[in-house]
Amino acid sequence: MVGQAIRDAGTRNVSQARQRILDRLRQGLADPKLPWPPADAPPLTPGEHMHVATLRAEDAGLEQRFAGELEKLHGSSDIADSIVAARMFTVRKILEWLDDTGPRRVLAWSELNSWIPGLEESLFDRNVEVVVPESLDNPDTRGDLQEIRVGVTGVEVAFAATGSVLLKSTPGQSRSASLLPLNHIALIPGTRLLPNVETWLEQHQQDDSLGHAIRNSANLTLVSGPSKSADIESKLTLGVHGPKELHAVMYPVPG
Amino acid sequence: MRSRIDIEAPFKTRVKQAVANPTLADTLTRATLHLKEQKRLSLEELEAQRLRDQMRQMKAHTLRNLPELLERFERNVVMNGGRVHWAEDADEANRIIGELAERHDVRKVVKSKSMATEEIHLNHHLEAKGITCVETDLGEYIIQLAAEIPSHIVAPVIHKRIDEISDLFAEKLSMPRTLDPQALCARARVELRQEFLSADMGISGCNFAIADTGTVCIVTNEGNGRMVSTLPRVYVAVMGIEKLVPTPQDAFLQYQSLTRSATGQRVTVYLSMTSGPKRLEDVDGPEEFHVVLMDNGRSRMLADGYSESLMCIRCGACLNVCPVYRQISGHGYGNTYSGPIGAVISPLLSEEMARNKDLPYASTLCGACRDACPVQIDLPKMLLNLRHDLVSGKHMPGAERRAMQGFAGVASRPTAYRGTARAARTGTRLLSGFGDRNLRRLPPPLHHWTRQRDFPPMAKQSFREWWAKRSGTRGPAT
Repeated sequence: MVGQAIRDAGTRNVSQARQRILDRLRQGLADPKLPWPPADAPPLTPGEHMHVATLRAEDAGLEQRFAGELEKLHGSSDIADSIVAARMFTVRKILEWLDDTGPRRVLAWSELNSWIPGLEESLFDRNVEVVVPESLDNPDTRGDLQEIRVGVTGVEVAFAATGSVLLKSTPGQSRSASLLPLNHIALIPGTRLLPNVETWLEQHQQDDSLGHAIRNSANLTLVSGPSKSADIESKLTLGVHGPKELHAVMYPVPG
Repeated sequence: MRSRIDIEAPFKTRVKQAVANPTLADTLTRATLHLKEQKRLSLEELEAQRLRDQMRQMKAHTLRNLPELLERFERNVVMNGGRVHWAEDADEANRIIGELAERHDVRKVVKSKSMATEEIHLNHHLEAKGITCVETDLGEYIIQLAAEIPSHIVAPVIHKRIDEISDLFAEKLSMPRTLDPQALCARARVELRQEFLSADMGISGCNFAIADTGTVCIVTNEGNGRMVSTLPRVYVAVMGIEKLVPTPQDAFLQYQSLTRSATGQRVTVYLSMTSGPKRLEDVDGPEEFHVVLMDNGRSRMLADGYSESLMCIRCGACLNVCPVYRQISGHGYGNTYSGPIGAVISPLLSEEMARNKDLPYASTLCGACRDACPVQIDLPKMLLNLRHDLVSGKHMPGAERRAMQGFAGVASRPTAYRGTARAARTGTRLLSGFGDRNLRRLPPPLHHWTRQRDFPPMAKQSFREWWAKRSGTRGPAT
C-alpha cells in the first residue's frame, strides 16, 4: 500500500515535471524576439544529408577499401575469392588465436553455417567447440563465457569507407560474442558490403523501412576496429574493454 | 598530487593554482594540439563547411521543434518497451535514479562516461545511499581512483602524466610501477571486467537520441558503453532535453561530425544504439531500459536567449583551440563543463551564477572557439551577452542586484552621489584604520564582493573636490 502510494506520488511528480518543462519550452519558443532558433528552421530532408565518408577514385573496390580502412583502425582482414577460401581463412585465424593452453571454444552467433556453409563442421573437426548461449542471466554462465577468448559473428551490413560493421542483436545473435572475448572475427558476405552508412540509410529510406531497421532490435552497434583508448597521455592502447583484435573475412556469395 | 586544483576555491585561486603548476600548460598544450591537428586532418578530406552548415540547420530545426520532438521521442521509447522519466533539475534526476536503484535492490552501478551525470553529481547522491558507483571509461576510472573530477569533455584525464597514473595504480591497486600504457590498460581491463559482470545497474549519458525511433545512442572507443548497456539487468540513460535529433539520417550526420570534431576520427570504435530493453528470447541485454530527460536550466537558457549554446554536441573542439583553457586547465573552470562552452553554460545551467560569475571573463574573445565549433555556435557573442546580463543584473544574486540598483539610483542624482561618496570615503577609511591598506573584508552584504578581492579605501579627497580646488570652479558639469 505504502509502496504503491509512493510510486503514485512519483508518477504524479514526473508528469508535472514533464508538463512544466514542455510549457517552459513552448513559452520560450513563442517569444518573437527570441534570437535563436530562427522562426523558419527547415529540417534536412531525406536524401539531402551529405555523404561524410565517401569512396575515392583510386579505390580498387569495396573489399580493398574496407581492408585498408580497417587496417588503419588496427584491425585486420582477409579477402576470400570463394566460400572454401573464406572457411579456410576463418578457421586458420581462429586456430591462431586459440593458443594451446586456453579452452578450445569460441563464443558465436547461432547457425554459423548460414554465414559460411560447413564452418561448424570444420571447427568441430579441429576440436573447437562452438558455444551459442541462450541467456546470460546466470552468473555461472557469465563466468564461464568470460573465459572464452574468441568471438565469431556475422554482420547486418558493413561499410567500406570507414571499415565498419553493423551488428544487430536478435535471439540468435548475442551482443556478447563481439564484446566479451579478446578476439573477434566478423564474417562479411559480399552482398552485405556497402560503400558507406549513407548508402544503407538511403536504401532503407527508399523502401520505407528505415525506422524498422533501426528499432526492430533492442540494440544496433556500429563497430570500427578493436577497442581502444588514448586516455593515457594520448598514447594508443588496445583492448580496453572490448576485443583487442578484430579480424574481418570478406567473401563472395554464390548465386 | 601536482595537478591538483581546488575546484571549490574562488576562480582566481583556481587560476593561480593552475598557472603555478609548471607542467600543466605543457601537458595540455601537447594534448590539445594533438587533438586539434587530428581534427584538421579528418576534416580536410571532405567539404567541412557543408557539414557544419548541415549540422547547424539540423540543430536549429531540432530546437525550434523541441517540445514536439520530445513528445515523439517519449512515445517511441515507450513503444519500444522502455520508460521515460522527466526531471526538472538535478535533485529530481538524482531522486528518480535513486528510487530506481532502490526498487531493484541495486548495490553496484557501472557507469560509462557521462557529462550529464557529472553535472548532477549522481555518484555522490547514489553513494550516500550506500550504492557503489564504478566509472568504467579508462580516463574516468583513473580520475575516480584519484578522487578528482574530469578536466576535459572528451579526455577526462588529459591533465595527468603517465608517471602520475603509474603512481596511482601502485598506490590503489598495488600494481608494480610501469610507464607502459598498455600494461596499465590491461590491468584496468581485468579490474573493470569483474565490475561489469557483477553490477546490477548500468548508467550512461547519451550523445544523441533519435526522436523518430526512440533510440538512445552512445559513442565510445573502449566498449564500456556497450558493457553498461548490455550486461546489467537495468540500464538507465541520462540525457539533457537538447540531445535529440529528429531522424536516423540526422543521427549519423551528427555522429560523424562529433567523431571528427572531438578526436579527428572518421568513426569511433563503437556507436551503440539502444531501442528498448532486450527483446523476447534475446540472448543478452538489459531487462529494463529507462531514459531520464533532464532540463536542469536548459529551458530557461532557451527563454533567456542562450539557446544557441543548446546546439552543442559536446565534442570539446572549442577547448582544444582555447588559449585560456591551455593555461588554466578544465579544473580552472571549477565546473563539469570547461572551456569556452563551459564558460557559457556553467553559469546558466547551475543557477550558481554567484559562484560562476567570473567564468564569462575566462576568455580573450579571440574567436578560435567559434571557428572550431562544428555547429558554429557564436561563443564569443554569448560570452559578451553574459557579461552584459551580469552587469545589468539579469542573472545576479538578489543582494548584489539590489546593491547595483541602489548604486544606479544614487549615481544618477548628483547630490545623493556626493553625499554617498563622502560617507563611503569616511566609512572605508574608518574600516582601514585611517591607513591606506586595502580592505580585506567589507561588512555584509558587501562581504560577497571582498570574498575574492580586496577593496581599496577611498581617496581622502574626491575628484570633484580636487577639481574644484584646482580650477576654482564648482566642478565638472554633471
